[in-house]
Amino acid sequence: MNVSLFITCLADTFYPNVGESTVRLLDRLGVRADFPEGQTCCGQPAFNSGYRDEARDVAKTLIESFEKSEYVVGPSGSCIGMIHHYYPLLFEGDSRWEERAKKFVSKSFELSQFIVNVLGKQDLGARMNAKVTYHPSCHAMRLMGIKHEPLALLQNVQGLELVDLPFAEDCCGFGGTFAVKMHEVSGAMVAEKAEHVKETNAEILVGTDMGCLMNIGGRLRYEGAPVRVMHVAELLWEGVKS
Amino acid sequence: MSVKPAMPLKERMKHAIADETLIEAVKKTTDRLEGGKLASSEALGNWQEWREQGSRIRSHVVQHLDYYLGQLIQNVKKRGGHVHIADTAEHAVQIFLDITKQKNAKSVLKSKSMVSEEVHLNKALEEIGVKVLESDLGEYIIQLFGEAPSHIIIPAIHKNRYQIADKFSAISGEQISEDTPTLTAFARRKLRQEFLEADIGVSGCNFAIAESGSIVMFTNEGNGRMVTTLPPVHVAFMGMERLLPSFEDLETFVNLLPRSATGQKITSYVSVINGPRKEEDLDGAQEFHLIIVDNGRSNILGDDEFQEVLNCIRCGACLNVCPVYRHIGGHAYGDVYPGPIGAVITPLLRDDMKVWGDLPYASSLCGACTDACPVKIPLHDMLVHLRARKVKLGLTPGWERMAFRMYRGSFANPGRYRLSMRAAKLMVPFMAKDGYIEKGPLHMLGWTNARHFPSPAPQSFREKWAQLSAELEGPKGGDSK
Amino acid sequence: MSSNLTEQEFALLKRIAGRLGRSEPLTEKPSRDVIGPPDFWRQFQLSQEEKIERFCESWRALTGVAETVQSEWEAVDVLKRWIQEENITNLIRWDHPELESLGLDEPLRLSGITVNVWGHGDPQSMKEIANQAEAGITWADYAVADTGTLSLFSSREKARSVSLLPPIHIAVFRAKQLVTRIGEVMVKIDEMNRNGSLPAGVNFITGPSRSSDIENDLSIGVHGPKKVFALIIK
Repeated sequence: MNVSLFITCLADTFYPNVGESTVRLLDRLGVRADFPEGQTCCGQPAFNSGYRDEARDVAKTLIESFEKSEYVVGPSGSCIGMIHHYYPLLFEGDSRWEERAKKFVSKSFELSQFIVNVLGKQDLGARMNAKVTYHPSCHAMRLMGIKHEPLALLQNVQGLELVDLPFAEDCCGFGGTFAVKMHEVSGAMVAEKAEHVKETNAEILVGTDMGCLMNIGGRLRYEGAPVRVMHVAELLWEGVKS
Repeated sequence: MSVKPAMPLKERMKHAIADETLIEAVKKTTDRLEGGKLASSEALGNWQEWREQGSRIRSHVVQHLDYYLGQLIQNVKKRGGHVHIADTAEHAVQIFLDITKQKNAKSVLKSKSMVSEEVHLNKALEEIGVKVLESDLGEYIIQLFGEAPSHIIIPAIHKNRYQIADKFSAISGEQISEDTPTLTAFARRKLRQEFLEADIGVSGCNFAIAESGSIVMFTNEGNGRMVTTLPPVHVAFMGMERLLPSFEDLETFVNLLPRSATGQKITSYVSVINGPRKEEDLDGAQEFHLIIVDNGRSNILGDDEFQEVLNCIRCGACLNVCPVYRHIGGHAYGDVYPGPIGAVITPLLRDDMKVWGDLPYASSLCGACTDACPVKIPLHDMLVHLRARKVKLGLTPGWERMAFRMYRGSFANPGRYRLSMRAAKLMVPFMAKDGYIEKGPLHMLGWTNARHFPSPAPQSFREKWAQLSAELEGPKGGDSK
Repeated sequence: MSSNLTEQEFALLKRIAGRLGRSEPLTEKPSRDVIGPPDFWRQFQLSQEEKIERFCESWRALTGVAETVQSEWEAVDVLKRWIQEENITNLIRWDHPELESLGLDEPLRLSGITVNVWGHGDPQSMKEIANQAEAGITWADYAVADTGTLSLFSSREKARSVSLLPPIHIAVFRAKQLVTRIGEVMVKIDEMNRNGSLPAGVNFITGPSRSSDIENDLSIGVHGPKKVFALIIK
């Protein structure tokens, strides 16, 4: 099985540990991932801001870098969602790229989706004694339909107490450039989200997307709230390795 | 009509967020409506199939609007009704003013009609000295305050009972207490006489049935029935796309609309008006006028990216789930239609991206609106399409265009990408503390006003890769550490 | 088809057609494969007993009062009881043969209650009488079990005001007038339209008049009736 890691630009720059945990976790599951170094970004920041030409050029770079891969796995429902939901539109009617884009779409998976649905594994043998709450990311949930996969993985972590996050499906207010452009509303949204996280008394907030986690984590730190923020890959790897 | 909001969106938002009473009321209301919707759609079962059915019927109508509208017009006339076509808002108002003049009408009583709000009917009537009164409880309240609705379904969401009791007391000269039954009873008493004496009743139109020339209204209070039953003249305002082919199709929308709007299985009243009363009838309006309003709707037809937005049945479900709406309420959107639907249709109806082009940014693109829409309009996609349109028209700020040119320059080229990531990292030591930036410069300031920002990791993943890869390839294979 | 359209109407249709890529407005009925409710829903059918039960359950859930009786004379008893319990002294009813044949008027008048019959007077005074009445009595054309909904068709004798203006609305109907889904009535309305017998107004009534416009607080009887009664004769 030839699996390539799509690290995503955000994790590459800010959260390399998410990439490392992903690779190690896959390795433990018997899947050796490679890392095509030509990859940069899915193009979403430009696309969502309306800059289609710019997004298209960045997307081409990504498609090209994974041309040889059998599976592309990324630790982000948002970036993978961008690929699935918008690449077909971005390359519609482009004779050179339309097919390549579609092929790319059909082989890319979000990490939890890949582990649960492609590898068919839910119990990774992880252990962690902690009270954890889970924030489902909007794009994973709504663009990719990923709902039960991360929960299935978490529920199988021994010792883990998973508590429901109130209003879990409400957006945290990240939204990429939205957080900067409309920062007043975004700030009010993340303050509310952080409030809900604190209400759970969880020690760890876990999610599938570093964009949302950067936002909520940044708010929790701003408030001085002692909640650890982890990507599901980090939590699972930490639970598996010990 | 060239309507401009008093201040830019960002300013309107800032004001709204600061209004705690407003935001608390909005959150409470949207929670109630959303909760009701979820419960009632779950109780119905097969919600996705209902949505699919609703979407397909509406798409069919919009795609064949010339046929169905032609059929409707002829059938309304066949039933003795009068049809008026209004290309613009001004035109719609003029038509109505002509009717009032012709009828020598002194008082107009309205039930809820978003289209009449859209064309700003009340203001025009007041200007010529015709008394115009809203009879929907919420609309009546905000009319007394001289304000605009802040929610499609619950217009006075932003007013509390104390404010309402004060207002009722002020207009009646008696002390009205703030409990809901008293307030409601006051409005009932006050408006009943008006219903009996009004010269013209005005209503909206949730759906018109092409095959029969009927209009259908979904209401709860009974005022919609009053204004169509008691005054001698009934004028209905209708957005030109609000059609269904037959009553058989209406069943799907009886199941979709009230559940999506308020969580009810059905509204207290679903009223069908098949033109004026029959000659022998003793109640019902003697004269029926239907004003069919375009006002920018035809701009949207035939536009692949947006035509589907004409499927909208104005239920307000997208407002109730929208996290941005929940934090700013309806007025911040600056025009008649708030929330995600407003952010999409206002720039399209107004055909003015210059003035209204900031609305599509009032969204984190979380997609909750699309999920909630009973006729499956991909609202969050449309918001992105509108942004692309704004870019294409060259209406985005220069710094932003520059930023995305730079983004392309580095992100579409792996070599340059590596360099620029490294360059960015060089800046960080000047700003960061313990791995976080607590007060960012320029555009980043908005972010750090509400949260901290992480500094880039000392070593990016790609910088670590060679080592990680070698380790995994090592003697112990996939079992490191 | 476009024969009796005004210039302006035609211009609108032409503009729409143009936007939709047609040179002339469509005049032939477009074919379609999706009509009415989803297929599975059409299969939904309750038995007579279930319909009665479901109707009463739904009607009561909205604060409505519902009772079932076996015969006309029993119906009169229940109606009399309701009217007395509500202290009604002045009511109005439809001029409907079924209501007429119940023979309700005489016993009510004997106990001092004013019974007005719609249509026996000029329109303006009828409106005023209905407005003063404390209750309005109608005979439903159909009732929908699924939602607990009455369906009333207007006519000279069956005025819309009677179910609207008085604070209490009492509707009577026979069990055989119950349908399972609202769509069954919709299809009948389509038929009435096709055979030219459509009334001027059709009202579907589900429970009392209500509003949650003030602070989300449900209040009953805003403009229409505050109390609603349904009586089913088996």
